[in-house]
Amino acid sequence: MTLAALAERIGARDMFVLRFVDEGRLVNVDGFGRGAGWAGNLTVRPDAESWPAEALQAGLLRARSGLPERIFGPYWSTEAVGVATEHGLVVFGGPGMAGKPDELLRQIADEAASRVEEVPVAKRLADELEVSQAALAIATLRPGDIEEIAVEIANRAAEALSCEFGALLLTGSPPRLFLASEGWRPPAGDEEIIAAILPLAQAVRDGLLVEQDVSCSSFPYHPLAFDDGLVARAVVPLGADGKRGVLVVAHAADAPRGFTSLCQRVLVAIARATDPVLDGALAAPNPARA
Amino acid sequence: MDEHITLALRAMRHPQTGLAAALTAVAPSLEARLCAVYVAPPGPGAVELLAAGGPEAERLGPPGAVEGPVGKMVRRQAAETAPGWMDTPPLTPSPWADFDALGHVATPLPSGGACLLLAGSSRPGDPERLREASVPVAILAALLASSREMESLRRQLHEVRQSRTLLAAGLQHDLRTPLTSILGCARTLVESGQALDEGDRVDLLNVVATQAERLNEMISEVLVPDTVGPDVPLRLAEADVREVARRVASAAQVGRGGDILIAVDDVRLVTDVPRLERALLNLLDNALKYSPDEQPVHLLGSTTKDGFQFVVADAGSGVTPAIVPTLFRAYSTDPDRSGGVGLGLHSVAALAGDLGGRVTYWRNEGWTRFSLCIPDLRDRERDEKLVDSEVHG
Repeated sequence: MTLAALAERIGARDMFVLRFVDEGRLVNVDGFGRGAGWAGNLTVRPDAESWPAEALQAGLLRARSGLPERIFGPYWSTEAVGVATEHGLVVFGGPGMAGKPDELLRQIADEAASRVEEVPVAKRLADELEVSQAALAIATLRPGDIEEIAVEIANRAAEALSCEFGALLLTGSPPRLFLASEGWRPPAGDEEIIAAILPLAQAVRDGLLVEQDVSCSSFPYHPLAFDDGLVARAVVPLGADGKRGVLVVAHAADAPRGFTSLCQRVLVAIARATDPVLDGALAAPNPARA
Repeated sequence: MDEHITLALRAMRHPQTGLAAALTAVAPSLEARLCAVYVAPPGPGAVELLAAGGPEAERLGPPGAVEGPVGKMVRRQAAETAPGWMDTPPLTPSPWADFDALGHVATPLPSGGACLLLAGSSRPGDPERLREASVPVAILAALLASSREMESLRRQLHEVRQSRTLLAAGLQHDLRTPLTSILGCARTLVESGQALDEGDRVDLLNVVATQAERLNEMISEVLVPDTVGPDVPLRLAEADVREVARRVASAAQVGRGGDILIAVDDVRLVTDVPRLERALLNLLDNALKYSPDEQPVHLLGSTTKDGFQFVVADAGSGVTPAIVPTLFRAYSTDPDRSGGVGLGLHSVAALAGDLGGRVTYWRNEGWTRFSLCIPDLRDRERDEKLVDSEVHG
């Protein structure tokens, strides 16, 4: 029986087969739904995440809430069940999961865990291709003025990561904000959005900042806070030490999810590809200023 | 730096955001890797982290109440009148202990207490620059403190009004039964007293006395001081959640009419019951208001891994999508829905916060749902009892 058939048998929208790769690290090797889509790109450290740790300890753990909440890593769901197996943990997610009988859950989890050991090679290759294509989409942007280029970078970053919000902030005097043309937008002026991004821009200078659950963010600043409708956020510096600015992408509450390691790699690749493109756009003569 | 300060001041609709932006401006000028603004209240309340800036801002975690050694350190430094830099003293709590020098400027606030700007650096900086940097920060902190105070007053006013409504609805509901009994007995005695034998008359007078005593007790309960308010500490008690749901539903129906179907797990939970009741009453009142005629409102409740979740669902048209992001803010009103000044849901959010929980809105399959998730505060109650017993020997 395939993983899809097993997930269908229990009625799971998502199924993650997590396997220990060393003592303190589980990797999502395959699954169904998000579990298949995120295979090879999701690492869970039970010592840093309470839910998987409790599931491993209890043997079987259910989560149920009226609204989606973060279960582990970037995964959000209203209902989920974690079942410990011989080599790791199997997580079922989706409506109705918390009410499934223990015996059925254990049976399907054991069967699913026995069917996969490694991330499928085709999936690894597809992921590499995704990273390259995201970078290429930026590198091949048609030369234009900085306004067009910056908005297009925000658009493509948001699109590549299926994010509802994308923004590019160029630091300087004054800082300049460029928002993706579509998707979620806070009911606020540019200056308020810039003020909320500035602390993130300063904190991200050493590298990527990923917040899988904005409700417990160290930067809960309106209008880009959880209460404003964002659930997860990633920020990457642009230029050496982030001197040029930052690129911000976020998921809104309508489609709650976080950022897998593939998402993070894609974002870093986009940021790297962005630097020369911005160099060109900033150096180009601006007809409006001529 | 000036550009960022301008931006910070321009973001005054969100003073906390402005404060964080101002800190990003002052951190480089102070050569600080971490800057933070705390507020030490005048009384015994908890110190609060308002915002953080600098490359290591994430280390301080989310803004909010600060207890333990950092709280004590902030209180001490906030009382210090002379600003300046100092070598980080031994026993300084983390993460401030990781810096060789700490800059500190305390500024008294108009509302009482003081705000404290702390800066962590590898070496002491210029005290004059520190003083300069503290100016916009203190202005924004004062603005934030004032806006919070204003919000708190508005909330209190709303709660007073709501208490009056709740009291009127509750009295109408609770007083009717004994009054009906008293009235019935009195009428019987007036109209047919002569025809009754002595035993029946005594029985009727006993009913009058018992019900009058019940009324007296109710009035005494009503006259106890207000049990809910932003400054009133939590009063934790174990409650029968289903019973709470029934009681609140009953009060809501008296106030507005309409049907409420209750499906709540039969569990006991430690929480602040008056606060929970008020939050649920707000949600039910809203749902009854917007639910179409003949369509009942649903009050669901189930245990979660962290506590308990209530869901209030109605088949109304829901909230206009454009205002969803600001739904729980004060004075957030929906132009497509009539009435209200936009304080009800704000109050629910504040009460949920008091209870350590959260209220959320979502809409699907034609249902408007508000979910109130609260933790079981059993551990906290036990800890408080422990502290109480230690304090009182």
